Amino acid sequence: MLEVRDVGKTYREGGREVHAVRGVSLRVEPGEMVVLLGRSGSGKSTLLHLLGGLDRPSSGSVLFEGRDLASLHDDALTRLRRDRIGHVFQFFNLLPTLTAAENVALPILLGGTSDRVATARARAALDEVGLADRADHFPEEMSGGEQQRTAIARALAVRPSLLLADEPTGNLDTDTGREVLGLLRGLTADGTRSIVMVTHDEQAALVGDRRIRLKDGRIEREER
Amino acid sequence: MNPALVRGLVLRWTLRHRLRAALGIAAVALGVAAYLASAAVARSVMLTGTAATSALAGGADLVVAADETGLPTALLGDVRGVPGVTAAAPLVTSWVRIASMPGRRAMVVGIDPLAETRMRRRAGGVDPSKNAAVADPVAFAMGGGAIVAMPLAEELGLAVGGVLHLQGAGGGRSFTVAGTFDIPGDAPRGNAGRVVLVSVGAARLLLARGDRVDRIDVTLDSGRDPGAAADAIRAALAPKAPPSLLVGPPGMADPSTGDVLGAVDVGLKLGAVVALLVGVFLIHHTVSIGVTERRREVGILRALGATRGQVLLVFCVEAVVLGLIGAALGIGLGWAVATTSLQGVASTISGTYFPSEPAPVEVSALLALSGLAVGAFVALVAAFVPARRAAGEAPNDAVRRGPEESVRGRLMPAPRAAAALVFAVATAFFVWGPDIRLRGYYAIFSLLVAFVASAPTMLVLGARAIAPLLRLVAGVPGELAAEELARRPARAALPAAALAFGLALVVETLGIVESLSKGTIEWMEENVAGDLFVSSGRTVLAGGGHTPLEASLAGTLRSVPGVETVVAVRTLRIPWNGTRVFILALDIPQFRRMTHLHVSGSDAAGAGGLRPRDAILADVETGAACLISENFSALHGTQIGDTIELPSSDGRIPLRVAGTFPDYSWPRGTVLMSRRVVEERMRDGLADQFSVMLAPGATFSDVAPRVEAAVGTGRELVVTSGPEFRAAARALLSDFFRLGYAQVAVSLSVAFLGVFNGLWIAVVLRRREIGLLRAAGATRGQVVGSIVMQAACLGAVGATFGLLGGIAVEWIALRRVLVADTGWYAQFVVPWGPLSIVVVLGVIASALAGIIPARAAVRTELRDALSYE
Repeated sequence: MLEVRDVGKTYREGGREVHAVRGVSLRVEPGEMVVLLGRSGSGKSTLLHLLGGLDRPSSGSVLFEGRDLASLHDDALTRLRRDRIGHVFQFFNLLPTLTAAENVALPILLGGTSDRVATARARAALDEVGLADRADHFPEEMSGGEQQRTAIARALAVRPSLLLADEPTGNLDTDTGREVLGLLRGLTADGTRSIVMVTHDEQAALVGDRRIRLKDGRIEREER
Repeated sequence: MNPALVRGLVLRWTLRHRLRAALGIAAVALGVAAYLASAAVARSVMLTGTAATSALAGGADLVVAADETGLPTALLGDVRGVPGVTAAAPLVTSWVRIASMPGRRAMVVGIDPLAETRMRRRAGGVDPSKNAAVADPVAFAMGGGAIVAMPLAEELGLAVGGVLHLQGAGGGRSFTVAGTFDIPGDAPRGNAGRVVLVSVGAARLLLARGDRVDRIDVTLDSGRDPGAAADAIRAALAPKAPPSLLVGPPGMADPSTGDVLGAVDVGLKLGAVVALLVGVFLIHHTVSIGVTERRREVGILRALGATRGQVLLVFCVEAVVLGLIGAALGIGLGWAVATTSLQGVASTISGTYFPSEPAPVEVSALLALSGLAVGAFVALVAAFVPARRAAGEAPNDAVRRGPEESVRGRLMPAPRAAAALVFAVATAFFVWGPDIRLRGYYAIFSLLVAFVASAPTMLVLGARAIAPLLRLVAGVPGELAAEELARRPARAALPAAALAFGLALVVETLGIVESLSKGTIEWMEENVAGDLFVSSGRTVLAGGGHTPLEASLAGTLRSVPGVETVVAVRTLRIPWNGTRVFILALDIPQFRRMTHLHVSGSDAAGAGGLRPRDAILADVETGAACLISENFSALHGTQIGDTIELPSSDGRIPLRVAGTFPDYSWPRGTVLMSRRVVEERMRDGLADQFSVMLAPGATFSDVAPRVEAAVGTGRELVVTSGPEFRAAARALLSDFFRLGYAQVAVSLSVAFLGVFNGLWIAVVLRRREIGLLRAAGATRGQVVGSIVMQAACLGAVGATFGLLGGIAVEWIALRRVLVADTGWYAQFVVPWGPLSIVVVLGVIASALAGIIPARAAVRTELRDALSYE
């Protein structure tokens, strides 16, 4: 499903070159949940952005469902991101002017689907994460856990084959974090969807099938 | 774009940021209001002018006319004899006094009832043949009847069979009301409501027109080419027609907006363009704030699969929504501004150019639609650059970091330096050279672009110069403000540039208005000589609205005890050199004794230096020479010593230009000549006014009743004292410039909106930094003080820069555009008094504008302000 070959990412900061990711290679199989672990600045979020097509590698290649993301034109990469990859962020990143249902429907609407169909799918996705009764609430009216579950519903609504989660429990209390991890783990149960999750929390990392430890932009070791 | 996305991403966001949206909306509203007001006033003036000069419109395919002295009736038969002419109807029209109602006037239109049956005729855009109820056609045809417009009949309480007493230059006449005609509510009213139709013979007697008519209207056989027919008529009339003959489509002799509005027309056009430019500037700011604040949202959208085009669309739709709301408000505001200022403009037009009832301001559906389109377009243009910046955001950066200063960089980035240089050179190129009118507009545009491009750098340099003073006098807040000014050139420049741009507009408008009003009032005070003025119907300021009197009354007036000198004044507008010039015909020997006119002239050979005024006027008195106004000379390229040929009913009259004089009577130029020549060669023995100089010791209150007794019987004399006359003229001019002051108010509002908007951006951009300052121990007071001081500093620099820019624009507008348009070389006045108040207000407003965003910034929770990383 996802193959990373010798990927590197370098950018300039304050006039000097920063190697955020160096020579990383890895594979993610369908139905697998992989956790990227590491301290702040280890390059895990940068790597996640490269996997999700939010950023382009300076070297190497990221193959998703057989296609090299680096070779795709911006619009094609955007469509791929919209239709095949779901994103979950640490700070939820829900749009404040949209209700929960509208937030979830957003990527579907961006794909050109009709309002009616998008809303139906969004409500179904919210139901899947247990938030059917909060569909018409705005983010500011919801708890952190509800917001993150809404974000997960948004990521699921486009029926992606890959879900990328960046510190999904980083802004939640322990109990709510545990709930969200359980929810994510359950999403891979049917074997069609893969998840790559970034965290620095050793406890949260245990939810994955594999743990890849990053240090200074390189893979330090891999654990099962 | 999906309606759900528009609702969620655009409308709800706009509603959540109402104040900010209101700023953008207000900016567009002001711009569109200025645009609409200028267009609506211009249209209203045109309607007023057209209705006044052409009481009967429509129906005719061609019009045969000449100068204001009219056409011999004998030409009527020749016109009718031209092949292809179906009908030719003579027309005489003038304002007359209604004897039964002192102070009220009617527009008499003399028509030939027989000829009219073959014409399809409209009065002021109204068709009497459809609306008239003529009870007594015989009385009308015989010359004793009148058909009265319904509004006038109602005002006078007249019904069919009633008697209407009218008083014209030919004396008083009574008419029996033979019928009335109605004016539909949707017709352009103009002066149609005051029209009285009488037979042409009766009108000629009433108006002392002798054997002359004002116009012959012609209808052609169907399919006949009007151009060819006009040529045929010209050829047929050639042996007898006056050189001033005009044959052409109806309306050809109507004045243009430029004729009527002159300098104000230039100001209006310039004001509308510049106001819309400022609208672009402010909408740009508003959308920029949105883009800056919504950077994280843009990142989310991009991460979720929104294409760059979709992001671009979100911001463009938002701008268009703001633009449309602003434009809708601007339509109402524009109507209000136009209506308010029209009163002044129209009363001046009515008093100085032609008598008229001002046509009401109409904002037609088309004009309103164009306003909406302009608003939406301006908003779209303004939003495009920041929207593109938003669309260009890399999703990973935006998601992670949130708001960030996007406008950063060097003091003078290369593209901006290049633009400033190119447009500065273009300004210099356009300022000097031929065709100064068009080049004048180009020069102003180039100067504004160069101004915008260089403003940030100049402002930052100015602010840096002030910064040490802030450090010195204001402690920590001053230190913080100075630091910010020194480190963030582009950011600091935004609000100052907005203020500078707005104030430049104020300076330019105020400068032009003051220059013109000062120039015209001074000119009038110096040149309108006389202790007492006599006219009929109403005071004459530059012609029109009154009933001309027989010039021979001057003799009677001279015999009135206490009167020393009397000058009969006749004014005409005649076609010349593709336009219409103003003829000021005077009794020169008497005029010499009372004038203070500044005349520049030389001897007959055009050399030999300056001659005394009396010598030059003696030349004019011979009938072989004339004076031309300075604007005539500038517009038509005529110099002292040249000979001009004026058309008349007696062939062309050659007149050598003996000198020039300053004059603001007419934007197309004035010729001062002997009235004797007009009487003898143009066969016009009328006078619009008599200027009287009193004998030493005589007073106005003594002489005025004697004048009334001597010549007043049946003439409704208006006898005005010199000071009264000049005060009325001053009031008229002040009214005329009211529109200019309305524009100043709009510019000031725009300036303050701009500075408020710009400061908001600056504070939004600094939100995190302000959080850091607070976290590091700065008190709220210190932070607010720093921002307010920074705002005041930028206000001072912006105001100074705006003042300089505005003076430059004013100079180009006065010395290039206005000169080319009207030939008026108005004194270049910089109104330092009002401007210094404006500058101080600018600095204070700027400081005050800093308070609201500053207080909002310090109220932000530290946690929120610092949470972006």
